[in-house]
Amino acid sequence: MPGSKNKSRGTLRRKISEKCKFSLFEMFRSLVTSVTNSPACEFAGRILSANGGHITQHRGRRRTLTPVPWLPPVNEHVPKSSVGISKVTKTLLETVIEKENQVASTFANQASHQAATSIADIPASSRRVGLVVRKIGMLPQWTKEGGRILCTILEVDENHVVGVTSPDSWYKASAIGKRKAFNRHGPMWKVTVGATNEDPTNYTSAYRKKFTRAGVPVKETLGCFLVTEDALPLLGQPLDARHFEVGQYVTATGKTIDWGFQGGMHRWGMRGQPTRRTTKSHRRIGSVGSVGDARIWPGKRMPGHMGYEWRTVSGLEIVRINIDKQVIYVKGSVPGDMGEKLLLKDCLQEEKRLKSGPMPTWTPSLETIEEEPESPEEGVVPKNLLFKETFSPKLFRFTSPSIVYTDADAKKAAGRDKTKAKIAKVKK
Amino acid sequence: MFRPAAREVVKLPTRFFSCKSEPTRAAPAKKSTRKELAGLIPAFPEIYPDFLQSPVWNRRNALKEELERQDMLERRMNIDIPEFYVGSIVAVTSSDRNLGSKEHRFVGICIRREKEGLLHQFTLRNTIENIGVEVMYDLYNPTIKKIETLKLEKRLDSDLTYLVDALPEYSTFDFHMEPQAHPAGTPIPVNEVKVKLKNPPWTRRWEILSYRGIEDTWTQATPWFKRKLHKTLVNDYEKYDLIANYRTGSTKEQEVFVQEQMQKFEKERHAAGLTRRRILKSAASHK
Amino acid sequence: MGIHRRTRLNVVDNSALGKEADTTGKLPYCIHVYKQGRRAKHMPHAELGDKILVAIRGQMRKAYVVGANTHAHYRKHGVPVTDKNMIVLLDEEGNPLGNRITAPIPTKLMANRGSVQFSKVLALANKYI
Repeated sequence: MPGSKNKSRGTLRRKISEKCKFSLFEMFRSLVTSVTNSPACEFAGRILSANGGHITQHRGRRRTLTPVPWLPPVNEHVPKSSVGISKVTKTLLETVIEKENQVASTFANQASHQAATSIADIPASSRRVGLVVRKIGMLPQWTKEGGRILCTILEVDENHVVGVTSPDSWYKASAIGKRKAFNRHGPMWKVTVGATNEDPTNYTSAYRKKFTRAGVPVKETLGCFLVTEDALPLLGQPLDARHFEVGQYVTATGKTIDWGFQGGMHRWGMRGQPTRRTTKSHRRIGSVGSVGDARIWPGKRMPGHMGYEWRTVSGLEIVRINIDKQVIYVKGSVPGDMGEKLLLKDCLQEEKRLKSGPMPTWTPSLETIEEEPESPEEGVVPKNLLFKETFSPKLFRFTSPSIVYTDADAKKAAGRDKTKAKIAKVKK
Repeated sequence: MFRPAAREVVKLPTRFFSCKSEPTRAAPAKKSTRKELAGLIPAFPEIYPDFLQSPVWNRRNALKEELERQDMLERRMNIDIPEFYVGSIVAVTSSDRNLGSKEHRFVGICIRREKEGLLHQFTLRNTIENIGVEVMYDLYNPTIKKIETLKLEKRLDSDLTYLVDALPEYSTFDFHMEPQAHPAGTPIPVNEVKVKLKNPPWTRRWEILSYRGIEDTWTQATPWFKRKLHKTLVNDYEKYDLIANYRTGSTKEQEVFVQEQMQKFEKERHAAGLTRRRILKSAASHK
Repeated sequence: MGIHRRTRLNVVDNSALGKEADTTGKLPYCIHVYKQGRRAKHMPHAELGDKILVAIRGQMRKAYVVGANTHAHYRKHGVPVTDKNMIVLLDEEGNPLGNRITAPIPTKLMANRGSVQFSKVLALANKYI
């Protein structure tokens, strides 16, 4: 057996050296086929992991549970009891923070008014900013046809642009910039968006400095977006839920639910072991490999940390936006638990791409004042009693009466007989 | 990794925990506050189970509940959703896409009320031509045209799923039943009927579940099961658990808050002159 | 839950075969579901209006599901759920074996009336729930 092993590996090496002139992809494919065709299939993994110059098996880390050591800490851990701040100093500090926030918000307002925006066509090459949202729950909504849509509701909580980095400086500054600043879609700017105002005393000065520079209050969460130059927002500009439109498709990225350390049955859906004639092994994974090999193959599914991984769901339709409460209703589900933060951006699928919209982002200058009719119609709820909302035209409005069908709907529901049409086609 | 933001600080419930063994001693008689006099309903959780918070702790979110409540109240302004309990006889008239302009009406006993908010659903059961039929309805589904309570009463249990295994006469109701009016201000009658089950096999092991509305399941139970497990009720220890509903249950503060919101909504709509329909009402309390 | 292999069913038409199965107490059971599935090994479950193959009195017959007992978690708004799974037997040509359906059937089935075979079954129904 050892002889045959060596032999097969030798033939493989020869094949690889022959095909070196081909592209990497070609080589990889040939390698895979040669491996799968050869009788000694069990070396496949070993050969792939043995670095043959180009081929390495990259397994990305699923999650990072500790903050990176080279970045300064974010949270200031000051034991409250030991700090002898007198009441006067405390109130003074509070007023200072309040004033700073006021100044920051006025600055941000000015920034948003300076920004030139328009509802314009969005070329396929441009990328807009996204929003950092919080998932706050799931609700059903109904269509005008009576169909049920389960929606996720996402809160846009005080989003501000915290940083705008040019591709050049990003490239120089970080390893991620080296990878992403000049990608195949052209030079990309990094736009950092912050969400949810927080008490600045809980954060270190290094963290707070970012926000002073941008002139915005200290934020709890930061998210980065790759933005092209034509869709660049201003530094310190507030972002609104109306950045997205009803009927638009979006992509949600976030961390999945953190389940902690879980067994094979929960984590991978393994079967477990029988109830009867089994002791203490009802939920164990069973065998993890063969005897001859005397090792466990890399990638073997085993118990371990489940969830808390970055996941993206794309092609979610926005069906309703509550402008007063800054809440977006999205059809379908998004990764993560309730209360988790997500990144929401335009969907890039060609047929679901946003063709025209508020071009860098939405600003109050785009607000259109709807003219109130002189005498409101009978039986229509006055607008001051309702939230300011935009609805998808297909969505049932709860202010309207119950759905009533007609006989034409019944005919439509019955549909066409497919078997009949097929027979007719054959006869022709 | 869930961390509530500073804004939505979770309010810990402060409530008298009633001791089930000695309720009088554990929960002292509460003074009727000014708030309770102002038209608030003591039996709010029973009448409006859809306005309660989620029993799952991290799904409670004040903003989500506010938006959801807004939709629910709007719907209640358009359709009269009467008071009914598990055990009441209810008729639902809905429009059906397959029937076209014709209406679809179903009458039956309410056997379950589940979930909160817009997700709230209830199940009706009836026997039609000796076939047991159950229909689940979403309370806020816009295809529902009318909900009527034909007979307002409660049963001994808050879940009548066991009617599946009961003799068919316990779940047979006339489709042309006349609605029986409930005299306002009188307490909701409790129908203390004890249901007789069919012979086993049953869909569930009713003999070890603590249902009060079933008559003597133990003698009927299959000997094989009797041999396996002696007469011990499942979750029998729960009666000693003083804080069983500490996390899952609703708090008095929340109930009062929701009722005030409902009253405010009603008042606004009445002032706008759109409708005189009242949302917050109870058959048992006065007026 | 749902109707899959070995699920016992009740015949609700007035065919002689169905009546015979009813009187002898040997209920027909499902042996195949005519439905697109993920894998042959994981047979899909039959729902309202699906065609299945049943074993009845030593014969194999095709049948339509006209009433299904669904788990409480899988119920849909306004779709009636019967305590027993009810079927209507078909002959070799796919026409109903009996000439009357003796039980009320859900209106949901009327959505299938576009199909030639199923409309013949619906024509036998005299009551809808």
